[in-house]
Order: sequence, then structure tokens, then C-alpha cells
Amino acid sequence: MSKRCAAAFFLAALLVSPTAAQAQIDDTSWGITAGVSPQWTVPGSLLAGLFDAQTLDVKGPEFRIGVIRGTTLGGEWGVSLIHKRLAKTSTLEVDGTNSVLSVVAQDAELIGVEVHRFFPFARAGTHVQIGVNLGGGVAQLRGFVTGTYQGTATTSFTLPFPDAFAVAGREIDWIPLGRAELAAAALVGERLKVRISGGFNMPGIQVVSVSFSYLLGQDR
Amino acid sequence: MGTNIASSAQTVALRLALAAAVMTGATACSPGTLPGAPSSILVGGGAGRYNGAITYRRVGGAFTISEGSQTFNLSMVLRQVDQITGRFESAESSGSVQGVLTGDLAAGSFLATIFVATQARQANGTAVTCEGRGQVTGTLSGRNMSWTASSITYDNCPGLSASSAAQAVAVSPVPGDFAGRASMIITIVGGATVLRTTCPSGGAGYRFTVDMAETTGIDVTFDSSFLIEERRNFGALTSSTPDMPFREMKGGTRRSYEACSATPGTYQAFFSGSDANGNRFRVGTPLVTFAP
Repeated sequence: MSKRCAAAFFLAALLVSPTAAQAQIDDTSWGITAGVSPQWTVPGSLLAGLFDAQTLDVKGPEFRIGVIRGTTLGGEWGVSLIHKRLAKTSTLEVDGTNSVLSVVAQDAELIGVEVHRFFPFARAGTHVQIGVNLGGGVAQLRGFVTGTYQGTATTSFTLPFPDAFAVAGREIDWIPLGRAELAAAALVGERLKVRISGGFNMPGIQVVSVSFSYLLGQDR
Repeated sequence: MGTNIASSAQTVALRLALAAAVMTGATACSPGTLPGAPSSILVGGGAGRYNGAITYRRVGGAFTISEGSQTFNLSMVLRQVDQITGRFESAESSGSVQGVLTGDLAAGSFLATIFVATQARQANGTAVTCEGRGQVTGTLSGRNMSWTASSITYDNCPGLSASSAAQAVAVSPVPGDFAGRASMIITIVGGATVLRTTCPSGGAGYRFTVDMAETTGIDVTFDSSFLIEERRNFGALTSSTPDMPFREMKGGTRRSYEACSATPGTYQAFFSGSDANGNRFRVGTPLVTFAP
């Protein structure tokens, strides 16, 4: 449903009638931003080694909200609160000293802060920008997972998410965030920009992400 | 004259009142008026503290242990359904027992696993603390408790094995504390006999929850792995030593984990570690039996 809404909103943004240039906010101003990624995934073979895991299959939605500074026809930078929820089908197998702990997310999440900057490098018409969105930050591992040993009897422990890596001799409380996306932004009206992007979203990748940025500055 | 008579009567009344008050106080202090003589110790509720004697006999191994009678203090608590947990100490040993009780603490018998740390000396005279495990069978009759352990083997003292016998009398229904030592209590929620239901994966199986509690408020750190011993279909013993998924446990807190077996048999898990005061501990679940 959210994908359909995002697509419809983007199409509407593309089709909206042009507004006079003098009504847009060309002076750099503050604004607010919010965004959603329906699903980010961590490719197992690529990053498993970083977490002392044999396999990694982690996915879930992402939500962002924050403040920005920029112009309607230029780029922007901002600071956002990031919430990445782990779907309950997310799994990883952590290599211990004696055994392999199969971990399944129960109520796990990443909450962090990220700084981003959108660099437009091309324009399509007067209302659409093409560019890259780069960002970085840090997120805390929170919530709970279930770790299971498979023997004659299966033995399952409910663990705080950071403790999932304890059997590998590590406790990971924080992980870095990174973002490198190809993006298209469309100006809707005088103050609202809708940006569709996709690409690298540490600790994974995302096919599509939708962001809304609303500038609060004075009209010219 | 009339005034003198009235004054005299008032004086007498005052003296009587004072005498009555003094007598009332004296009566309250009199040991002869206590509401009954102290009752004898009754065992049969949820716990008991026992004092007595324990002896160890070396059965094998090139170690020397004290084989004389040692003063023995045991505190035992009846946990869920039929499970008992106990802690004991003597002059040259200390440890815990976890098992299953048949009957009650006043008239019953128990089969338990004993974990004992025994002071021993090597052939060259070097003192060493040997950590042993064995099965103990005991009887409870009125205030009396006795147990025997025919074979205690010591993991860190190769070759050493010992037997043990203890007799003790209940001295209080309140379990004693062992100052400065953490107390890890491990029980099976719902009892040590598990009936067939459904495993979380969906198939039929024997599902149970193991509850781990520290009851004295002393933090504990578990060793990096724990031991699981299983008998599938009540056959040969198989063991595994998975990594301990959590190492730290705050004093006075509890954690639990779930297990499920698709086949009948037995299950027992053993944990070890150290408390915040540097004392080693070894504990285990009771022997869990999956009813066929």
C-alpha cells in the first residue's frame, strides 16, 4: 500500500503544473523531512563476515524524520532520526567457539542518527532534479532476538539484540550507518520536494526509498 | 475526722490501683505465662535447614581427601511441583544439589545431582579444589535426612572419584544463607516430567522452560560454555557444549530459556561460573524426563 501511495504521489509531482519561479524558495532555508523505505535488506554473503556470522538474512522497513537546510531548486543537507525495524523473518547464524547460534529477530530494531546531503547534478525540466544522496551516521541495536541451538532437543534463548554476538566474543551495541543512493527529486508546489531514491543503505541495500522535504523559508 | 477517713480511703484505692498495675506488668514478664512451650521443629512445608555430618570416601585417583566426619549444613527448598534445590557446606567441601522429590520433606525420598567442590591434595602435597558431580539418593523422615552418593567424579582432578554419605537433622524450616556466595537456582517450569505437546516449530514434541534465578543478590558470570546431556529414546548418553549465549547475570534477577525435544528421553543441562566475590559455582537442571 505504501509503495502505491509513493508512486502515485511521485506521478502527481511530475504532472503538477509548473509554478512561477519567483514563488519558489531560492534562498537557503530550514525545513523538515520525513521518509520511508518499504524494505532494506542485508545481502548475506557480503556482510556476514563483519558480524562473525555464517549467514545473514536481515530485512525490514526504515523510517526517517529530521530537519534539513536547502533550497527548492538546489541541494539540501539534513540530520535525521533513523528507525530500522528488523522483520521477524530476519535471521543470522553466529559462529561461536563451540557451536553455531541461529538467531531470529523477535522485536529487534536499529535506532540512530544520520546526516545526509543531496547533491543534484542534473535537472529534467524545471521541477525534477537528478542527483546522489550521501549520508552517514550511527545506530544502536535494540530489542530482542531468539538464539537457538539445534541438538536432540532445540534450546532457545531470548536475548537482547546486542548479546546475539556474545557467543562470538563480541557485543555489538552500535553500528555505523551509511547511505549512497541515486535519487530523483520533484518539486511539488512551492515548498515540498519529493525524492525517490535507491541504492546502498548501510548495513544493507534498498530498492526504493521515498523522502518528503518541506522548506519553511520566506517566499521571494 | 471525716476528712481523714476519706483521705485514707483514697490512699488505699490508689495503692490498690498501683499494686494491680505492678502485678499486671509482672505477669507479662513471667515466663510461666507464655502462651505455650516452644513447639518442635516441623518439616514438611517448603524448606528446611539441616545440621549433621558428612563423610567422603576416596574410591579412586591419586589425590587425598579428608575422609573423616565433617560438620554438615544443608538448606533445602522445595520448588515447583516436585523439584528440590539445596546448598550445603562442610569443613572441606561445599556445593549444591538439584533433583526430584517423591513424597514431601517430612516423608519422602529424592534423586538429585550433587555438585561439590572438595579440598584435595595431590601426591606431592599441593592443595587443589576438585569440582565433582554425581548422583545422590536421599530419604526424608520427620526431621531426619540422609543421603548417599556412590560415585562422585571430579572433572578437574583426573581419576579422582569418591563416595559420600550424610546424615542430618532439621533445625529450622527457614533455609540458611551462605554468606557471600551467590545462589543459582535452576528449575523446570511446571515440573521435571514433561508431557508431549507441540514444539515452537510446529511438530509434536516435549516443550519445557528452564528458569534460572540468582536469589542472594550477588552478580554472577557464567563460563563461556555450558553442558547439555541427553538420552534420546532413553538410549545412549550424548552430550554437547554449546557456547553460553549470555555471560552476565545480575544478582537477584532471573532468566529463562525454552527447549523442546521431538523424541522421548531425558535432558539435563549444567552451568558453571563465578560470583562477584570470586566463588566458583556449578549448578544444573534436575534430570528432565520426557514422558513416553
